[in-house]
Amino acid sequence: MNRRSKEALFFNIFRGCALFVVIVLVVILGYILINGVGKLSIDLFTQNPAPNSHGAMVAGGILSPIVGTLMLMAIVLIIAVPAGVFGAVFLVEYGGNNRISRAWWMIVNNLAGVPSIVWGLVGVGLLVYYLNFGLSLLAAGVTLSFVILPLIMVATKEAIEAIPPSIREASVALGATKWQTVRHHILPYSASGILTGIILSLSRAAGETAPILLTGVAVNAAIPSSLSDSVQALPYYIYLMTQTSDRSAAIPMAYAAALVLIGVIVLLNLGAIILRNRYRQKYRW
Amino acid sequence: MSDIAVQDLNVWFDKNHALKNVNITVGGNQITAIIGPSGCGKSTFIRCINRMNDLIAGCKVEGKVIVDGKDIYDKDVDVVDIRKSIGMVFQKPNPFPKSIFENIAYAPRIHGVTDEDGNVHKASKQELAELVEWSLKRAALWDEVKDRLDKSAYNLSGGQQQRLCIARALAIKPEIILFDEPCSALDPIATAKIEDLLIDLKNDYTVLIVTHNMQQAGRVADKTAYFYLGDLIEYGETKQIFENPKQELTEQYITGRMG
Amino acid sequence: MVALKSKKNNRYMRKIFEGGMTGLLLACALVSVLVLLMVFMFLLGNSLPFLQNNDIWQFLTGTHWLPFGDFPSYGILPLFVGTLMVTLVASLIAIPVGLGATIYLSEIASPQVRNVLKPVIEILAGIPSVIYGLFAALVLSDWIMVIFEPNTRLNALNGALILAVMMIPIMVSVAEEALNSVPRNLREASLALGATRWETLKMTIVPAALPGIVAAIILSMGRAVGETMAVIMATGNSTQFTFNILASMRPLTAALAIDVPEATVGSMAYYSLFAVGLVLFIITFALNLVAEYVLARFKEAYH
Repeated sequence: MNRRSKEALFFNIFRGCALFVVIVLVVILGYILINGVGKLSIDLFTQNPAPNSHGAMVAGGILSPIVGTLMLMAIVLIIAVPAGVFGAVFLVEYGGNNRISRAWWMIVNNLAGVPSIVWGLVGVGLLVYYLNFGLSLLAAGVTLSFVILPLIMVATKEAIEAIPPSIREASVALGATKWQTVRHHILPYSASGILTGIILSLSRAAGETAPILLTGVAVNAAIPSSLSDSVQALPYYIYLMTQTSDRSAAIPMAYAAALVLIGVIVLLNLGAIILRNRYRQKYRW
Repeated sequence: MSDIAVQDLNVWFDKNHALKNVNITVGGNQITAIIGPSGCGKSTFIRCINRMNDLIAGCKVEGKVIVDGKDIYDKDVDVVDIRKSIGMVFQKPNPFPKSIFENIAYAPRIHGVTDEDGNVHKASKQELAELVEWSLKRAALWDEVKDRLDKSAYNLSGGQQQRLCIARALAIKPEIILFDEPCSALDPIATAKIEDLLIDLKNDYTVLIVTHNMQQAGRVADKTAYFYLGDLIEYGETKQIFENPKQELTEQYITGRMG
Repeated sequence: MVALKSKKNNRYMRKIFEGGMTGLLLACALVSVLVLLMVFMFLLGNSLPFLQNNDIWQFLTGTHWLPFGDFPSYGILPLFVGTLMVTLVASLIAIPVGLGATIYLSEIASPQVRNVLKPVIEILAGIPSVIYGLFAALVLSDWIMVIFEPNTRLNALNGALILAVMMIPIMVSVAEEALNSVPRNLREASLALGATRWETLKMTIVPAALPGIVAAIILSMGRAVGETMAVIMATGNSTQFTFNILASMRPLTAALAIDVPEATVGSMAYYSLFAVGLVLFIITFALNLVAEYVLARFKEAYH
């Protein structure tokens, strides 16, 4: 085989790999779309899950899982987003590039790699029992915040570090204090990058199941009226529907809920991608 | 105008002794050029004068830098106050990604405006507009940008951006302006404009310029200091340094046998 | 100089404000370290009652996982083998496919194709694991039934295949970054010597990016080890001790998700599950640490 045809062969193999990845995405999304779209109705979005005649929770709609997921996202937004963004600002802008701050980032990176079920386990031990939150919206939301915190920190770090050091020098040389430099330059110029990170993190929070599985969800939870109530959530609902023995009724509901969840996540991801492209055009250093 | 007296200045970056026992007095109303081969400490020196080296981790400064009779490394001096009163222009133009107007208005916005009695008040819209116009005119940029003050500074050419950075430094009403190789990223035409501006500015300011370009030092500077490996080798009238250097090291550099 | 004379009062106010803001930001940063410490302390603290009262060797090598009942047995070997089997088989698929896709994406594809492919990878990474689990449980398992005719509809192969799909986007994004950070002039030097693009790739770019590629592989394996929902829904969760890929297995993560709700707080079973969590934490932490170390060395080489 000559050199050119060898090149063609390998390049076609690589092309095949990429094509395979695209096909996998299309097949998975296609299955969920085709099987889920038939169940979409007003009732799906306006009714809570209800038991059918055999007592399985496969009738009704998915209102409470949707609302529950939104509430969990809101808790993450309140806890993990400010702590993550400002924590990362501190580590990058005030911590400098020394051994301590490198070690600190190593910790953050490793936090991002802790399996979410381990977070769930810690959530059970620490929040549910030790701090006596009980199986609750609060325990689930805080556990989820632990999972999301390092993701937000890493995204914020990347956005801030994209700003060239010469901008900081310019500001400081004009007599701006550190905080003024952060407030007037670093945060505004990295805002869309940080926002992109936040959106992606929230979309991750919407889909995470393992951390909340152990800490606050319940099969028959209604829409929580307080932080100490247990909660339903879309990903948990999907999981439940695959575990129910009444498969003929449960599977269509699982697909419908999956379609809604994917819809939410794809929308958030698209938003993030658009935001990032615009941001790239705005600041070309 | 402010004189700068540097006494026994030593700078270390971790274990690297970057400046060694530098003693020099820089006078007002003139341009002082700092020359020397790469790594000789010339940028380090100029960054000591507004304490920009404080930002670098592992940097240690000893000695005195006396500006208007006050040692700026004294314990009770606030570093922010120093930087407010000394302008600095960097190697690469570094405008903020904001409008031309906002670039210049930034410092007066955060510092306020000082009136004749020395009281500071918040800058009014009117005052800001006046200050922006004055700074741009002083930096010889006004005529080129007066119709697009609200446009992004990034739309300007490199030379215009650098003059914008000069205008931005002028807006803090400094008495000293430090230039750290201001033309190294610019073409000859833009460089000539900046050099004209430097000569114009020396009437009102104490100007220090670091340059790797000896011709530039010859063209603009009244006095020249030559640094080599962290030592101040020779300091004197530019004419004397170039035509009749006293030190052999200086001569080697000037005649191009080194550097 | 005017500014040096600025009002002392002002200066103190500014200093207090600066100090306050710095403190606030520091507090936010401290949260990250505290959370990690807390996780570790908590896992360790809650594992201790178990580790002190049981033979650790027995725990690691025992072949029966029966934490509940009158005669409990806490051997995590079947769980560990479950994790190992699904991760290894998934890697066998994901590593070549992921690498191929990465090379296509970063070296061969036209900008237009790249603009489609990159979002595809990102969306694949963004799909929640419960969706992959759903697909494995309802669709993939049927295909495996037809092709391999296993005894159980949900089995380790099912989990491994879906994990492979989940590993690919991580592989691609990390490895692509590694390929991109190979300096352009290296590429041009090779092409200028008359090498074909494939030869340039094989002899120059891939070797130069190898540490980054290794890190990509390790990170994606870490993801597979830590993945919970997809394996719970796909593998069938039987605790039998077997190396048969077509048998039902219960990986470590699935054991936690299934058994924690059953365990009474303060019971030996409860503590044993924290010990399982500790094992899982240590495995993934070590994998991440190695990947991070390799990446850091790699970045140093090119900066």
